[in-house]
Amino acid sequence: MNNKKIQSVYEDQDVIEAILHSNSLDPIVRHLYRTNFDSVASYIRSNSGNDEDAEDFFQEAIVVFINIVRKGNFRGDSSIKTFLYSIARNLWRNELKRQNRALMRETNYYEQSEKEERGIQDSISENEVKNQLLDLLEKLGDNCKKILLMFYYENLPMKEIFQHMGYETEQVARNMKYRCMNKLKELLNEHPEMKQNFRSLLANG
Amino acid sequence: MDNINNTNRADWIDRYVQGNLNTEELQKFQTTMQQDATLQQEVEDTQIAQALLQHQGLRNEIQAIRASMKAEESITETLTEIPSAPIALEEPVEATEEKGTETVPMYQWGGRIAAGLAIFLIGFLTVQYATLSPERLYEEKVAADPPYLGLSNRSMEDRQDTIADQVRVEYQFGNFEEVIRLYGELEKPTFAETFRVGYAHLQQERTDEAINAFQQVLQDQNAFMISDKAEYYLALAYLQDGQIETAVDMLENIHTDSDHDYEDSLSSLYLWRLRLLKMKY
Repeated sequence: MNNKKIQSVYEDQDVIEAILHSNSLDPIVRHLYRTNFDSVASYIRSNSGNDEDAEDFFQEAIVVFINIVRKGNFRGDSSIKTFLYSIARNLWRNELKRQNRALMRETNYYEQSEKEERGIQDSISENEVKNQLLDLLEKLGDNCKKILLMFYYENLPMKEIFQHMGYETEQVARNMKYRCMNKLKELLNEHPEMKQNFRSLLANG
Repeated sequence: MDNINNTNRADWIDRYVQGNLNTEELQKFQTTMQQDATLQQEVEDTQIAQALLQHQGLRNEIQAIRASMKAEESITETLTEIPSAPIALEEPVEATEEKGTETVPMYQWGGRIAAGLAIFLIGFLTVQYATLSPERLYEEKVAADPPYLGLSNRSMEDRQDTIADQVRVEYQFGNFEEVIRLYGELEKPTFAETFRVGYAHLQQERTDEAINAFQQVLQDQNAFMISDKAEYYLALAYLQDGQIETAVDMLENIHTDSDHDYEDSLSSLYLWRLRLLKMKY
């Protein structure tokens, strides 16, 4: 089997299934890059962006897309290619608006329903609210960030975390995680408005 | 699981927000939450923090996958750029052949591949040699190693009432400037605090101070439990300081000592590059 064949085995439904149920995002994210990055990058470059913008905004588009799928909001009315392109295009339009710059050439290669467009804009707004709070994690320090990500993102058991982090006992790691979580909550409480926005997002599903 | 109390409260909340409670536990937890507004608030705060961490985790994961794709692409490009044979040499050979006879390529495929690999190997060695520096090897090692965060007195680990406790807590949070500042306030630091300040100096690239601290730990007879760690970090401090011969000799000894805690932490490639570094300087 050649590489080309290996690289093109994912149908849209496989991608959705893998995002929802697979433990590893690696093959799916690679597939999304291989099949969609060039068209998105070309759109961004022809609208005042550079290569770095293309990398940043395509990455952001994948984050938004995965979150939409995980929330069960991708209905498959259009293909993943169309959908991802739309997310990236909306993200880049918002960025240009923020910089008070206009689109140089708006070519919409892919048709998108109005309803889908609205859904995408909502998800992008949600992503922005989350991004605004990410700076708080930087204030935690590297060790705290690591331990909390291992526990709350990677879902690793404390037994593995304490070995990986080099703590003396599992209890030390447990206490450390507890302190770090409290520190993060304190930081969130220092930004009541942003926290409230985040709370509303969670409440709205 | 036990009833919810102050000791296991955080574990209950984590298991609830992660969806790890069974039906009976879930019912018990939800009933308690309805009667306890503080618990309700704690759950909500944990859910917000968890959602934020999951967002950051997803971004990190995608970024890491993309970085790995780019690294792979760059290796593939390097390999395809290696010339299979010098084209200029092929043409004259064909030109001297008699008309009507079959063209014989100067290099057969086996030869071309061997030549390509040789060029690649020479290129690889040249790049390794040219880019090798003590700073680079130090950075690679420190980036690959998890920070050593042990050394806690278990009965004291939640206390923050003495300066020594504060040193430990700040060290565990990775606030190394604060560790160094507080260490200066200690009247009689123990080997544990000295180790921590050594590690903090190393992280802040204050190499002389780091070397001095690790040497002190190694001279302390009570510090036998962490002497391997102190020795390993002392070697890295020498590497950071550019004392290459001392650093390489110490790391080689650590690698050959089967009883040493850090025996396995040095790969063959890393040791080979250390030896190359020693030759270079």
